[in-house]
Amino acid sequence: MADPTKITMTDVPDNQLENAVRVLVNSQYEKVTVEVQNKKKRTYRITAE
Amino acid sequence: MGIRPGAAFPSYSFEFKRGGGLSLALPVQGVPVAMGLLGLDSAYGSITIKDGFTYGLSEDLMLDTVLDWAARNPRILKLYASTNNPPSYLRVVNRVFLAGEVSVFLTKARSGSVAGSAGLGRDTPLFDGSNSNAVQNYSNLLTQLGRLAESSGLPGGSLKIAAATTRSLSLHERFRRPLIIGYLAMEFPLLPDGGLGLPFSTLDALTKKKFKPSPGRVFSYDATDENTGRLMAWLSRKDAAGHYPNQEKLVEWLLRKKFQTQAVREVPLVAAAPEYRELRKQIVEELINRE
Repeated sequence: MADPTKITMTDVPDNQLENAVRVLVNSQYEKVTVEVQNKKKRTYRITAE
Repeated sequence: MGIRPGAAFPSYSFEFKRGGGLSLALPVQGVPVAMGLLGLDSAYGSITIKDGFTYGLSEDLMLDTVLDWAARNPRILKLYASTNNPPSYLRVVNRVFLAGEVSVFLTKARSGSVAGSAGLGRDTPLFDGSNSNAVQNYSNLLTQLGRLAESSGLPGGSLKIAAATTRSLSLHERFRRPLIIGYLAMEFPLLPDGGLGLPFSTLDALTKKKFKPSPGRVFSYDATDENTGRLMAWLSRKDAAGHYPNQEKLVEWLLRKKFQTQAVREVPLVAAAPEYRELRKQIVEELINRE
């Protein structure tokens, strides 16, 4: 059972990172954390809670 | 009470010194009574839990029941939800363990204080085999000790002395009603909107065992769907006043189309998760292409 208060978006490409963070921040999540998922592929993991 | 599911528990030992308090974990009245009968200042003892049994529901069944109830009663849960950190929790007990009887064995602690007690320092058997009435005498002694114990004021339950010497005493105590001595439970965080968060073990919470927080709902950004990038860019577009009106437009559209759950907290999933590819296509056609 997943925590309903949290959401994690993986494999976010570099050129969509800003938009993805913006969408999460505008979706009532109070804390958004960005981590580098794959340095070579330049993808990110974003967790919102 | 019919056939009850049995439960067994390990026995445990304890040490008692007068004035030092008595921590037995269970409200066993027989221990202070026995201490009084033997006139002990300090003692070692052990307690064996007997007639143990358990009642409960499986975690699956309890989860279903609790979640059904919570879905019908968010207003009640909202009353108890904390708006600050740490959150409030709902503790749900799904199994209890009960004991009907305990056996207590007490023995005098060896210390310097008994050195001058004229022979009482040794463990003198009260059963004297050389006497022809030994069995009857010993039986009478135990009965008298039992009466003394009963008169010491044990509300409800019963005490029975099983064996006695000058240094030790063994007794059985039956509780008036079975005593709950343990439980299994889980903790549900109460969310501000009256919902329940992810449950975790009460044992972990009480023993402060670190548990790995759940990452929540995990989904991969659907980069192969060109509508993902279009929808993300559209949602992130700022108007002249510095607001993001398209996110509100999408929520209104989702509500109009009866996507209640998606409208409340799943906009990021609708925008980027592979499972919403069809819905995203519809959104792009109806909201973005018609602008």
